[in-house]
Formats: sequence, C-alpha cells, structure tokens
Amino acid sequence: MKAFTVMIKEIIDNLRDRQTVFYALLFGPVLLPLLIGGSIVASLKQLSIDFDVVTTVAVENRSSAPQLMEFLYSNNVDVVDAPDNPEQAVRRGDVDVVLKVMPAFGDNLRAGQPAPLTLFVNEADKESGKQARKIRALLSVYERTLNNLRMQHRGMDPNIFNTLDITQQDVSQDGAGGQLLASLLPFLLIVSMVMGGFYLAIDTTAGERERQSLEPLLTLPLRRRDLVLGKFGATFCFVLLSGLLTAISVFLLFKLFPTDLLGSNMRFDGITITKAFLLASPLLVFISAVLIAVSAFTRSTKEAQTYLGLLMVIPMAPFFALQFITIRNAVYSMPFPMLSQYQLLERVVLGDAIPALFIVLSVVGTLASAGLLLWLAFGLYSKDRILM
Amino acid sequence: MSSDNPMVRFDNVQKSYDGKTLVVKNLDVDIAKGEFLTMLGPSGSGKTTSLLMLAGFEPATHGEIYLNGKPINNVPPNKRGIGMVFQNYALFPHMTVAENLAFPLKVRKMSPTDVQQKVDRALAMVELPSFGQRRPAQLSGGQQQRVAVARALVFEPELILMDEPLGALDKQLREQMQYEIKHIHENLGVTVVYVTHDQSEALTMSDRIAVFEDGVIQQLSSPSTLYEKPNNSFVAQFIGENNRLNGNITAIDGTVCTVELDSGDKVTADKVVDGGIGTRTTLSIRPERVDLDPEAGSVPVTISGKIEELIYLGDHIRVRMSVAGTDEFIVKVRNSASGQSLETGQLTTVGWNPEDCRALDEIAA
Repeated sequence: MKAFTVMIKEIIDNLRDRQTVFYALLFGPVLLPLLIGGSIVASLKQLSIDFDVVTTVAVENRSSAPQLMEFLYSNNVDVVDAPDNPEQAVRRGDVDVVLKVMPAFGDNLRAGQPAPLTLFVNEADKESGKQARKIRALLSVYERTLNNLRMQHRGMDPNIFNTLDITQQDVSQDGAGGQLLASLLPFLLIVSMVMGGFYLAIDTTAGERERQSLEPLLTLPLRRRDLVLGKFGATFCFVLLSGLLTAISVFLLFKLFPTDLLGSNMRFDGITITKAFLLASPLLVFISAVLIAVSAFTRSTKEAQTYLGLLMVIPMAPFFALQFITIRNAVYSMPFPMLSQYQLLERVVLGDAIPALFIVLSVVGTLASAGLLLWLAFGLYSKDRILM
Repeated sequence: MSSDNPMVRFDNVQKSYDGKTLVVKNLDVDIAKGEFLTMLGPSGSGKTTSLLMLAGFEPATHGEIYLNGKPINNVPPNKRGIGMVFQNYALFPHMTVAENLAFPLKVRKMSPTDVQQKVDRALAMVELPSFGQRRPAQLSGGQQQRVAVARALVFEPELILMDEPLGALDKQLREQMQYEIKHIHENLGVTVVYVTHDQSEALTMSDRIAVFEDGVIQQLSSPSTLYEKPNNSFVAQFIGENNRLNGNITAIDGTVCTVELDSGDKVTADKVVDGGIGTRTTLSIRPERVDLDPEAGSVPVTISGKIEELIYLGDHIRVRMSVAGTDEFIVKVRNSASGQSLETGQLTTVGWNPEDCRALDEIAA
C-alpha cells in the first residue's frame, strides 16, 4: 500500500514534468507514428496508380493519333491541348506531363515501324512522376494491343514469342512489403512504450539520486521494496498509457493507408490492434523493469540517459534484424522478450493463426525476465551504495 | 548538557570506507534530548560521516550508536524516525510545497484532515503560510530551505539531522535562517544534530559544539567555552581569530606557566598543554583580549611591538603588528578617540591578562 503512495507521488511529480509528458504522451504515441507511418503512407500513396480516377493529360498534335486519344479517353484520361512550350510548361509545373505525338507517328504506324511519342515529365516533381507512370502504363497496354493486332494481321499467333509461361506464386500472401508493414505495428508499439517510461524512470531513480531527494525518501517509513515498487508502478503507468495511445494512433494511421496496398490478409482493424496490444502487454512489465533496473544502476541523469539511450537500440533491433535475416517463428524464439512480440504481432497483422504454446512461452519468458530485472533493482536499492 | 539517559549515544564508533583508514575514530558522544549539537570541522574531518551513520545511510565499522537507549546499528533509516534537512533542500521538484510537506504524512497513513492540519501548522512555523501551492522552483533559496526544514519537522520527529542546510544560501540569508532554525528548535524542543563547517553558524545556534578534525572530536563544549578556553591549537585557530606565539615552558605554578618566547620575551599563561618544563608550546591570545598601549600596571603581561597596518572596519580598527617575532599579531581596537591616533610604523606595547592567554600544543611556525 505504501508502494502505491510512492507511485502516486511519482506520477503526480512527473505529470508536471514537461519532458516526461512530451515523450510519454506526444512523442511515442503521436509524433513517432506520424513520422514513420506517415512517411510510409505518403510513399505508398505516391507509388500507387489509381486507374479509376479520371485525370487530364496535355497532348501535342493529338489529331495525328485519334485512336490513341480514344484509347486514353476510354481509360479515364481526358486529353487537352498542350501548351506552346511543353518542356518549360512541365518544368514550371503548369501541367504535370505533356505527351507529344511526333509528326512521323501516323506514317510509321502504318508502315509497321515504331511510332514515336515523347513524354515530357519532371521527375523532381512527385505529381509529374506519378502522372507519367500512369501514362506509361496505359501506353504499354496500348502497345501490346497494337502488337497483337499486327501479328494477327500477318496471320501469326501473338503467343508465338511467348516461349515460357512462368507463374510465380508468392505464398507469403502479402509479399516483402507486407512484412515491412506488418512489423511496423510492433515497432511503433514497443519503441513508444520505451519512450513512455524513459524519462520517468530516469527522473525517479538517477534524477532523484542526483538532486539528493532520495535521502528524504529513505528516511520515511518505507521499505526499500515499496520504494522500488512505487517507482516501477509509476513507470508502468506511463508505459501503459504510452502504449495504449500508440495503439489508438496506429489504428487511426492505418485507416489512412491505401487499402489496395495492404495485402489481402493484412489487418489493422480494431480487433487486430486489440489482440496485438494484449500480446504485447507483457512487455509493459518488462520494459518498465528494464528502465527501472538500468537507471537505478546509474548515478546521474546524464549517465542514465547514456545507458538507456543505448538501450533504445534493443527494441529497434528485432525490427531491422527481421528485415534482413530470417528468424523463424519457433519455440526457441518465443521466450525472448521483444523478439517474440515482434513475431507474434506480425502474425496477428498478417492474419496467421498463433499456436497457444507460442503465446505461453512469450508471456512466461517476458515476465520472468521482468521479474529478474526487478529483483536486480530491489538488490541495488537495498545496498547503501544507492546513495553514493 | 549530556545526561545519564541521552537521546543519542555514539559509543566508541569507528568508520572506515576502505577497511584501512579510519575516517571516524573512537567517537564517543552523548546528545541529550532537546539539545542542539553541532558537528563542526573542515572538509574530511568525519562530521558528515558521523551524521550519516546516525541517519542510517552509512553503517558503523565498529562501535554502537544508540537512540533512546536502543542500539540502532542494524535499524534501517526508514525505521529510525529521524527528520533530515540537506544542503540542497532535496525537495521533490514538481510537487507543490504543500504536497512536499504532505508526503511524509501520507506515507505514515495519516487521515487527510490530519495531513492538512499538520501541513498548515508546519507552513506557519516556517512563516510560509500562503506558499502551499507554489512549486519549489517558484521559491527563493531561503524559502526552499524553510520548506525543507518544515518537511523534516512536519511528522514531529524527536530528532532532526541537518547536513549543512544553509551552505547554499548567501551570507545575509544564512544569518537570518540561523536565527529562525534556532527559534524553531527552542519552540519545539526537538533534538537537533547539525553539521557545518561554518564556525559562526555553530556559535550562533548550538547548545554544544563538537569540533572534528581527522575523525576525532578535538573538543566538545558550549560555544563560549570553545571560544574562550580552546583545548588545543586546532580548536583555537578553527574557532574565531587567534594570535599565536611559540616558545618553551620555563616554569610551572599550578595551572599557570611561564613561557619564554622564541623572541626572548617572557610571558605567563594558562597551562593547557601536557608536559613539563622545556615543553614546546604555542600561546593563543584572542585579538580582542589584547590591550594596545596599556597603562603601566594595568595588565601583568606586556611586550613591545610595532604597528604594521591599520584596517578600518567601522565599529573597530584591526591593527596588524610585529610582536615577539611575528608580524601577523592582530589587535582589535574599539573605534574611539584613542583609536584615531594610531599610525602605521608606530612603536608601542601590547599587553594582556594571563588568563586570556593559553599555552597549547605547539603549531610549527
């Protein structure tokens, strides 16, 4: 019960500390998802081409290619006259792209020769590049259609040049991009949890030692265990709050994702996020214990920031490691805190079934590690060295 | 001030951090209930270590510490019921003043009504009744230290330990706080053990002062005894200003001895140093106890000297002289008409009563 009094004191104390509140409630849950998730959303949106959206393209000399114009129109592209100087107009951003039908287009087409077209594009301009990719894709379809017609006209089967019929079936269902997206959820959750308790843990342990407000606490009728539990409890509350807010913000963030880019089985709905948060919840205890144990070991805020700063690499390590090396979901990887949560959360997002044994091993392994770290913190606080 | 049933007793306490060097050596002190005892000494003398052992933050290497007759060596700090005030205030930075004061009470499971009453009383005691909702950063250094004192007192401990609590304050504020702490002590009757290296602070507030040097109490006395009758040269020079003259004891008559100074002058003094005739000694005479140009026969001891420097200090003039081979002999002359006639280079005499001059252990010149 006295641990609870200490916990409330630390929470009140730190809720008034702007730095702690910023990192716990703003940086992890809001800024981090916006920075990382937002940039991924923006990139994906940029790369995606929506053929159902009607776009307008400026074409020079369009009267020389009436059938092409008709093809473009039938594929949701409205054609308008090009400006006088296409190159400058595209560079200035007056129009995104200009398609120039060269004078020889009609003659070459009729002679069975390649018909010249020039596409003016500004690759430095994202909208221009995106528009150009759409036009190039449509022109490729138009080209294949003409090729087939030419061969049929000459009595040839268009498949004559298709000597192999290769089919690659991606059994991952969501591809390599899906793996990256799936690991984004555990990454954001875990990093945010660490950030949530980071400054509170430092302030309540190393910070307290540094400003020597630990001594008055030690003279109060509190067992050292109550003191550690109080500080741990306060850190846990901030880690929990940060994790919850991040789960909500990730849920909202994935609402913005272009649905066609998400794999068919990839889910970021409320139930999936809830499942993921529950699977990650043992980490709330583990991360709080790590932060308290490490910062209790240090003697000053600066030292604690150095050690915990290095510790920040740990939650990121599985994210990057899993992008480059294959660590299979297996019994041996489940007892490891963070690694197992990365793997389990990925499976949740990808809609894969999770064996109960995996969950048990992950929970037990993570909580046991947390217990070990708390025991270490109890030990550190029981020693007189804590004041030196 | 010591009694048969002291509140605190250090019984042959020793402390070593490395197992070799003793930083506190055979400390024996009794502190009576309600007493204000100051541990005074230079850095590294063992005073703070002694306080930390009493608080429970440092274990004693040897000996026993008693609180109200019970040994407490194995009692952790949280079970000693001691209030502490630290030099850097050690307030919880983001909590209000009232919350800082309430926390020790909440930990003790007091009811919210009691907590409020005690907090209000503590704030009134340190004359900060309207500062409850401020944060420490919104207070001056003196106000923060008052809050720290109030926090140490709020749960009404019998014993308060103060570790250089005024060290971070400027001179004026420090002097003001000295009186306030003294008044709080007098009003509450709480026992205070106070650590400082500031002799004037110790003299102002204490019932008794323990002067530490090299892990040993050199003298434990009331402020007046400590000043007037130092037991050794270290105490004499550490407490107040002091003129030192070296020489040999040439005759002993009870508690008085005759000393032949290195300059050849002979003077009489209270014999404090151990040893017989021929023992080297350092005479200690307070500057304010020296008469400058005394009337013939008014004082038994006179020596000739020369005025080297005059420093005007308002209420008195500080006269630096060459006397008996030292040119650092200081005399304090009250600022009066006679003081106005002093001149640098003037040859004159100085004199004193033998009871104001103490023959102590020798300090090498």
